[in-house]
Amino acid sequence: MDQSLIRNFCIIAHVDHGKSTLADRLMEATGALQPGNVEQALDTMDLERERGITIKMTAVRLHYKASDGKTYQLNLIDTPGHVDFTYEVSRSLAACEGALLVVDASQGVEAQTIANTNLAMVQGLQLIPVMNKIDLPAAEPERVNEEIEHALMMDASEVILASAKEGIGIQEILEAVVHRVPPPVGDEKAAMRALVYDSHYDTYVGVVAYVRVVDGAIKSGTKIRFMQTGKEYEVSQVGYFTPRLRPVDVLRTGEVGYIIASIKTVHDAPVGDTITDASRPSKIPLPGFRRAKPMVFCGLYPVEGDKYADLRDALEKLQLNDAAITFEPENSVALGFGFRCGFLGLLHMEIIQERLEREFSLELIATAPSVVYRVLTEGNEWSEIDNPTHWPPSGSIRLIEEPFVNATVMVPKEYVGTVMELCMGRRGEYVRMEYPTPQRAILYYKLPLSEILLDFFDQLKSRTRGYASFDYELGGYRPAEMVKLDILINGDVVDALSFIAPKDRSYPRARALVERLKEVVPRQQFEVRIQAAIGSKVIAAENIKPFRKNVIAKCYGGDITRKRKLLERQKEGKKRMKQVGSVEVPQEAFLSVLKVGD
Amino acid sequence: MRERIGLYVHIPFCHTKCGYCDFNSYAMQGPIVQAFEDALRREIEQSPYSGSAIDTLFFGGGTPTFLTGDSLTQILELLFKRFGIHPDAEITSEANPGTVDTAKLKTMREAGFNRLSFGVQSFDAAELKRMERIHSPEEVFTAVMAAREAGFDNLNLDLIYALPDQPLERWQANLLKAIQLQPEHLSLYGLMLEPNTRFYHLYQKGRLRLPDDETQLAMHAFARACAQEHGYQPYEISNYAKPGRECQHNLIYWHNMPYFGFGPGAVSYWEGARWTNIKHPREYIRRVKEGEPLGFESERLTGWERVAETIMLGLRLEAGIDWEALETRFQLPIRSHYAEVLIALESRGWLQQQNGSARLTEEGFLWHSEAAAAFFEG
Repeated sequence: MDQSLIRNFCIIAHVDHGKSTLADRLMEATGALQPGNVEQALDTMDLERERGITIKMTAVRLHYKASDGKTYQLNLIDTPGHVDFTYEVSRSLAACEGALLVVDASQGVEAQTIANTNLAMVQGLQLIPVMNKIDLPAAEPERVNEEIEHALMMDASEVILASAKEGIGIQEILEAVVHRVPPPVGDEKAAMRALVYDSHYDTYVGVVAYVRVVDGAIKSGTKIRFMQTGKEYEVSQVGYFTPRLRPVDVLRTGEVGYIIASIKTVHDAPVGDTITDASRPSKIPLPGFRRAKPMVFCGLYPVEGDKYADLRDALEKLQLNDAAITFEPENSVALGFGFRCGFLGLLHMEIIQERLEREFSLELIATAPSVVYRVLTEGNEWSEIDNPTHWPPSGSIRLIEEPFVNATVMVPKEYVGTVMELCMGRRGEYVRMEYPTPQRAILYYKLPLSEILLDFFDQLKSRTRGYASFDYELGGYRPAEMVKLDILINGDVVDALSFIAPKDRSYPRARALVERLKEVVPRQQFEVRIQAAIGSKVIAAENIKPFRKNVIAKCYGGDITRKRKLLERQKEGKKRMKQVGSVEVPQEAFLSVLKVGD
Repeated sequence: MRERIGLYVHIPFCHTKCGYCDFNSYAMQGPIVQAFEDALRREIEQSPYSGSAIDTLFFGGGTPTFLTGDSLTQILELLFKRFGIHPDAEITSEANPGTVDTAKLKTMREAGFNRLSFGVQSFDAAELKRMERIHSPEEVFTAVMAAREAGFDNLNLDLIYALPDQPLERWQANLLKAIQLQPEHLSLYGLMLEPNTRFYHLYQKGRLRLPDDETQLAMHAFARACAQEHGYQPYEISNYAKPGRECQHNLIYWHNMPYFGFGPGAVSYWEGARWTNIKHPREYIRRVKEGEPLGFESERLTGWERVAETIMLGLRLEAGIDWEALETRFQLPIRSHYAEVLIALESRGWLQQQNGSARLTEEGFLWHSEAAAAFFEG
C-alpha cells in the first residue's frame, strides 16, 4: 500500500480511562469487529481483564473509508498501561506516528498520562487529545480541558469529546487520525529495516515477532538478521492482525504486522531490536534498543518443598513469553529450595506471582522484594547485589549506590502536605511542584526505588483516599548509606528475612519489623526471642511468651467430629509453616518486611 | 473390649442462655415444649434401632429438668419399652440446681434415673450471675440434699475454672465447697470460649479478662491434687470419680463406642457413621411431624479415621490406649503405622508406653490437642 494511505497510531490512557472500550469501538466502526461481539478484543489475558489493564500488547489493522473518499490502512497499536513497562511502551510508540491521548472527563489527567505523554512527545508523535466518558454525570469538561492545557501542554481546542461506551465522537476520532497523524515516510528502496516492538510465543509456530517496517519490505522466504543478537532466520510467514493473525504476501514500508521465522524463544527476538535483510543488510540499526533488565528481585519458594521442579517448569514456560523475567536457583535455610527472580517492577512481580499461582496452581512464599545495589568493595571491585544474603561484610564496603526514580504524583491540592510527608518519610528529594489547575498539584520527587517497594502505593492510596496518581521512571544510581539488617529467631539468622535498610533509619525499621513479627509468629511451647541485628550488634528485640498448655476442653459424643476436624485443620496449618530452628514461622512473616516503611 | 452402646436424649430448653454456652439450647417456653415432647416420643417410637441393647442412658441439654418429672418419666418409660435397656444401666440426667425439688427428683428416681449431674459451675454468687446461671450457691446445697433424699447415690457436680477475672483462690474455694457436698463424681472444666457465645464476643472486643496461662495451669494442677487428696481419681482429662463411679455413658464416648441420639441436635454413631439431627427445635418438630429425615449432617469414617479418632479420645483417659485391643477391634497394624509418632511423643515426655498400652503423662495431658493431632492425616 501507498505509504500516504497508512496511519500508525496508538492509544495512551490511564488505567480505567476507557482505552480498551475505545479500541473496540474503533474496530466496530471500521468493520473489524462485529458490534457487541467480543468485548475489549485487544486485551487477551484473563488477568488483564480482571485488573483492567493491558499487559501484553497487540495490534489491529483497520480499513477506514474517510470523508475524502479514500480508504486508509489504520494500524492501531496497543500499549501496556503501566509504569513497569516504560521501555515496552517507548518501543510501541516508536512504531507509530501518532497517538490518541485519552483522558477521563471526570477523573482528569493522571500522573501516568503525563509520563506517557512526555514519552510520546519526546518521540515526536502527533498527539490527539480525546476526552472520554463525557456522557457521565460526573464529567467536568471545563476543568479537564484546563488540565489538558496546563499539565499536558496541549491546545484545548484540539480536544475531541467522546464516549466510547455510547459511541460518541468515534467518527471524529477516525477522521482526526487520518488528517492529523502524518503518514510514514520510509525509504521503499533502502535496505530493509523493521522494528520489533513486541512478540509473543506460540507453542506451534514459535515466536511471533510484532514489527513495524521502517524501510524496504519483508516477505516470506526473506532471510533476516536481528542486528543486536546477530541471529539469522528465514521468514516463513508475514501478516497483520485483525486482531487475529492474517497472513499476507508482503509487509511493505510503513506497515505494521508480524513475522514468523522458527524463532525458538522471545529472547532471540528482543523488543527494540532491528530486523534487516541478511542478503542486503542495513548498516544502521534503529535507535533506542535496550535489553530488558530486571530492577526488582525476590525469592519465590514453593510452600510445599516437593513442588520445586514444578515451579522451575512454570517459570521456564512464562519466560518463553516474557523476556523480562529472570530466575536463578537459590536456597534458603528457612524456606528450602526456590528461585531468585527478577522483574521489571512491582506490578510485573505481582502479575507473575499471580500467574504462577493461578495458571500453574502453585502455592508460593515470596520474600520481600529487593532492588539491585551497586557495592564497591576493597580492591575497588563493583558488584551488583540483588539479594541481601549476598551483602558483603560491612567492613569491606567502601561505597554503596542505590537506584532511584523520578516520581510524579498528581493529587488534589488538599493532599499536597500528606504526599510530601510520605515522600519525606521515604527519603524523597523534592524537585518541584506545579498547579495545572488551582485544584490539582503535580509533585515531582526523586525517590529511592527501594522505598517504593515498601508498601508505597498502598500508603499513597490510603493517605490520599485514592485520589493520588503516581508514576515513575528510573533515574539511575546515587550513593547511599545502607546497612544489612538480619533477623534472628532464637539466635538463628532467618536468611529470608534479612533486608537492606538506610543506615539512618535502621533503628526504627528494625523495631517496626520485630514488633510486626511478634504479632505474626504464633506463641510456641517455649519462649521465642526475635532480634534484629546489624552484624553482631542487636538493635531491637522482642520476646514472645510461650504458651503453657493446649485448651483443656470437654469432649463428648456431640463434640467428637468437630474436635477431629479442628485437629486436622491445625495439622494442615502447621504443615504450611516454615521451621526456623525449632520455631514455626507462618508465611505472612516473610512479607512483614514490606510493612516497615513508616 | 465388649462393645457397649449408649443412648442420649437431648432436651434443648433452658430458662436463660448462659454467656459461655454454645450447646444446642434455647430459652423458649409455652406450647413449643409440649410439641417438642410429642415429637421426641415420636422419634423414639419410630427409631429403626429400637430393640437394640442399651448399656447407658444420658439425658442432656439444655436442661432436662426444664421438663416436669412426669414428662421425663414418660420419655424414660417409652425408652424402656422400645430398647433393651440393661437392668444395671447407668441412667443419668443433667440437672440445673435451680430447677429441681425433692418431689421432682423422687419422681425421676422412681422412674429409673439413678445418676444426676448438676451444672453447678461455681459457688460464688457474683460469678454465677456473670455467667447468667439462674441458681444461687445456696440452691446447690438444697438440690444436693434433695437428690440424696430422693434416693440418688450417684451424683456429679460440674464446675468451671478460669472464669473471667477469677483468682486462683476463688477456684480453690469453689472446688472445696463442691467436695464438701461429697458427690461421687466431679467434672472440672477449664472455660472454653466458643464462637457464637456472648463471652467470646466480649473477649474479642477486649472486654473480658481471663486468667493467664500460669494461673490456669495452677488451677488445673490444684484440681488434680485436691480431688485426689479427697479420694477422687482422675480418669479423664477433666473428670474425677470415687472408685467405681466413673461415668459409664461418657466412657462409651471416650472409647469411641456406638451411641444413639434423640432430640434436636443429638448425635448418633453407629457402624462407623456419625450423624446429627437438625438442631433447631421448631424445625425438628416440623420434620418429625412431616415424617421428613431428621439428619442435617452425617459422615462415614474410614478405618484409619476411626483409629485416629479412637486414639484422640483414648488419650484423654488416664488408662490410655490398649494397643492390642485396638488392633483387634480395627484389624489394622496400628502400632507399626504410628511407630514414628509414638517415638516422637515419648521423646517429648508426653507419652508413656508400658505393657502394651500408651497413656499421656501429666505434662502430656496439657498438650492433648497437639499430641492427638499427630495421629491424623493433615
